[in-house]
Amino acid sequence: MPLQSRHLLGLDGMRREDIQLILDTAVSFREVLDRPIKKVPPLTGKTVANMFFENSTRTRLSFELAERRLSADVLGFAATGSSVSKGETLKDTARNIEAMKVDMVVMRHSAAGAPHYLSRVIEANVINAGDGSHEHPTQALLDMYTIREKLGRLQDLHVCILGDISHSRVARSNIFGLKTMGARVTVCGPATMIPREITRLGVEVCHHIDDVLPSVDVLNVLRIQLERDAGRLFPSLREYHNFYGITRKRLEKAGRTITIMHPGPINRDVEISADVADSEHSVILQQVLNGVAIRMAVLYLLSSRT
Amino acid sequence: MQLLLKNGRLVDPLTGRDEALDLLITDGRIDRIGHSLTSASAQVIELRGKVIAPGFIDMHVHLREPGFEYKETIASGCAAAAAGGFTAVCCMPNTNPPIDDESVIRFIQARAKVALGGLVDVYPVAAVTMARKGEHLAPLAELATAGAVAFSDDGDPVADTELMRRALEYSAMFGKPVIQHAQDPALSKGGVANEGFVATSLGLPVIPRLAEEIMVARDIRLAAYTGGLYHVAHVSTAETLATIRKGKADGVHVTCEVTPHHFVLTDESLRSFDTNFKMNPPLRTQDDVEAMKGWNDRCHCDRSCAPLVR
Amino acid sequence: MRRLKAQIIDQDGFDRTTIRLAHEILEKNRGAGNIVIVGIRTRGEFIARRIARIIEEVEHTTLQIGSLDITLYRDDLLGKLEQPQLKGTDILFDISGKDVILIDDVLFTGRTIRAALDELIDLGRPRTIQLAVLIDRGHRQLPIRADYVGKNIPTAAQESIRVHVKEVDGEDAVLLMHPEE
Repeated sequence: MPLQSRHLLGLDGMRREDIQLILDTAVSFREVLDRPIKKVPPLTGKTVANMFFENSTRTRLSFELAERRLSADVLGFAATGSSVSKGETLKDTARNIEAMKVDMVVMRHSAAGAPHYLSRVIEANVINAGDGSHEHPTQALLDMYTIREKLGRLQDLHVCILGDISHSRVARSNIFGLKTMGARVTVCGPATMIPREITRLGVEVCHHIDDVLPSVDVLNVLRIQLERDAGRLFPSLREYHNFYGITRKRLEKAGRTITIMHPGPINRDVEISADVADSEHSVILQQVLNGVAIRMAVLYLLSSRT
Repeated sequence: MQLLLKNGRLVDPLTGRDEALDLLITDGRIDRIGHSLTSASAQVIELRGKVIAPGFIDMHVHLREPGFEYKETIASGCAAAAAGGFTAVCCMPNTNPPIDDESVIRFIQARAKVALGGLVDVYPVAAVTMARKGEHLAPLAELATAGAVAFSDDGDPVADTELMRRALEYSAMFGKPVIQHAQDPALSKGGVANEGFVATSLGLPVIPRLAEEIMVARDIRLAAYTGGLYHVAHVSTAETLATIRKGKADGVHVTCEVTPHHFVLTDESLRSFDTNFKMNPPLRTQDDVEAMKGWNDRCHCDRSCAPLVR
Repeated sequence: MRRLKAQIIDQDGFDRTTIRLAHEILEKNRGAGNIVIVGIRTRGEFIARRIARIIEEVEHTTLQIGSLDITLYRDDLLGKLEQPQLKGTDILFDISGKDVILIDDVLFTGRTIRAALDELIDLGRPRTIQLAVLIDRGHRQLPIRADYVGKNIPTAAQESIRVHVKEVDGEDAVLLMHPEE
């Protein structure tokens, strides 16, 4: 039973059995990562281009590692210093890359929908590595994988996503994926960071984190964009930390074991305190490791969908 | 030289006529209208099932010339208008240089006269402010005298409340309206889509309906206070229409226009990520579409050509 | 649909064959001291467990047993329309320095064994790798042979061999099938 689509553009509308297949396949690749030689041959002879039109270090590294561990040939492409700054359209850039006989394209772009557009103009399989504030499907898949690894299931778990929901592609992909897999999802943050009509996605909205923590199984803490948001979306980092920062004290008051996640990179002692980030309930580093396995699974499953 | 149009459906809103009739045209002028007309010398064109109407007027187009001839020229814009049945167009001033000087009006008039032999009448809409920057009034008197039919900074609003007041006061002296691209810049900064469920699902930066509604409400108060002539370009929300309707009822000189895409399409089209559906003002919701269908002063195309965007 | 041509091994034959293979492995390796058992998924895994259990009983010892999913090492993966589902490799011990007894149900072209050897070598550096199969039906495409063979069955290339194991198929048997019709 192969994946329905030959691209991974987002989790919005993805079938439950497809998500299940990716998560199950990732288990095999997670095992590969524990081997002395962490490399398997299924993508031998395939070429993958990583087109990152927006800065990213860890997602790019994670994809690159996944590609190399599947024995693919890897092409790197960073927006700075490339043809983008010379005025070439996305379509022309992509077609040029494709003319070099690339089989798959992994794309990060600041505009929502850019990979969807790309998938219509080129033949290669397209994987969305983050498009604007829209989706970041592999991040949500690795989050779900990590939750399932830690708690054994997704069905009926209560997952709270905390932070700037409006501008978060991680939040959106998690909402789509988790709802499909039967989880209960609450989004939490100041009203300035919750987009309008989001409850129509089947999530609950909460503005006071202490109200929701006592019923939460998993807390996914989003990164606060220091540069962009302070002064407009919330008054100050101090105030954000006091009202939304996840500290040991706040978690103890909740009186419940909560698995702590964060897509990284973390701002220590802003959205999450250092002791919580390093605690035994934090799975932040497992997320990073599982990210490689999930990306291997996605690349592997799509490689046969020509 | 005679031309006989047979059996066309003649639609003329001015006289309320809508029936199958024949038209006899002599030397470019309508000679006779009636049933079963004949003429020995005329060239006969059978028009059964087709519509004959007076030339349409598009009061809001972008001809791009001068300055952006790679997107559109006065000649290509006029050809497009004629092909669509439009015999008159009002062209917006966001050219380079913008239409903030009578010389630009003269240039446009001269170009229009030679395009298709002057088949399409081109009426320039001049800028409200110098360089459309929203800081100083353009020479509205000179521009009106040269042939400007209205004033607008279209593409951008006149955001400064005091300047908008002065523009309405000043332009009223010549009986010319100020056409506002109503959109509060602070509320709409960086936005591309209607704020609502679709933008929330797709993670698109938003232009809330408020940005338009607040500015229209403000401007109607200004028009009432100054006695100015106020026209709202491309209305996109039901609430804006309601505010305009109330302004009219209160005796304010306010008019508006709606584009076809805003009374046919909704923001649901954005789900395809086809950039043809990305526009300014953005497509709104079904409720807005229904309100537009119910009430409309004028319809225009906002035809504006742009090359592929990155 | 393939039709049954003959049953080659029945329940008793199956038991006798696995017992003999276990003893041959012990004899050649002079005991079970350095042996680890690896079965190739799916059915090789179950045959490996049978053989391992017999060795454990005879030698009064406990063996390390793992299973190998060779899917990622197949040489026909890119051309395939139906992507095989991954079942996962499950070897929770270090094979370096060990005598690895690699077990599969049927030895045919040799390509599965080639893939298994490549994967094993990526997992460590065994002292030896020895191959045990229930059935060798010939038609090799690679220079590979088995160290322990349950039964040699000459076949036509278009025929097929089906091995049934209780854990999956509800019975232990080896069946020879007619060519596809």
